[in-house]
Amino acid sequence: MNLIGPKSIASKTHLVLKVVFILAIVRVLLMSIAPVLPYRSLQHLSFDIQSGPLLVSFDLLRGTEAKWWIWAMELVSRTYQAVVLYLLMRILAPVGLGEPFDLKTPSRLRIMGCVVIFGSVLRTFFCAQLLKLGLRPEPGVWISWAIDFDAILMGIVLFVLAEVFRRGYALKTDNELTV
Amino acid sequence: MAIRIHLDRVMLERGISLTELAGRVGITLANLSILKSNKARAIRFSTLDALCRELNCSPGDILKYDSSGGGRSESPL
Repeated sequence: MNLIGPKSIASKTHLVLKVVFILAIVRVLLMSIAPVLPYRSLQHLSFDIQSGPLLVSFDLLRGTEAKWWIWAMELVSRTYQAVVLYLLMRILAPVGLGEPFDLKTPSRLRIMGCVVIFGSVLRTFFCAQLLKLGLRPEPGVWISWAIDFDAILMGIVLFVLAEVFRRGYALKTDNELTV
Repeated sequence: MAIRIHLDRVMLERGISLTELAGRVGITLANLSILKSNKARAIRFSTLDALCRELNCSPGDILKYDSSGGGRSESPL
């Protein structure tokens, strides 16, 4: 198994990430224009809130404020997924070239950590707004405004990894300048 | 860093080129250039040993401490 080059696992994963990222961008674009799309199939948005998928119809919510909160929540959620995918792609690119400790990797990991934490806080805010508006989901599915500690934990893990990579880069530089 | 490399002076005195010294010491020309231009962060004892052997000198002839030369001040990891 090659460690460096186009046949390496990192390069293949990078290619897969690139395809997924393009799909994520298409999802963001579709979501951003969803409210004005004439096609009935696209007027139904599906999204997950805590315990399961909840289908919300734009037709049913037409004219209500809740529609815009749901749309904004889904748009933000998909955008932050795309941002995380993009950053992952950029982190993986130098790995395939045999340079895992890149100068920009720590800052990319830190940005990813911020995006994950901020995204979860924003989602909580949107859920709270939906509850405030009196929107109640179907039986068996519930909307929670509780802070997502899993996302915060993930953010902290990414911050720790950023520090590890920062030290790794410093070690690499020292090693390169040792004769 | 206050440590200065005086490799060029010693090489001039011995009349040896950078390429020839790199070949004799067994390190790359690029690494020897890094050392000569004072950009190196560390030097291995084995490299210093080989340099002293080939240039017939002591480490003090190549490395000097210059307290006035501040320059880069980098803390070790």
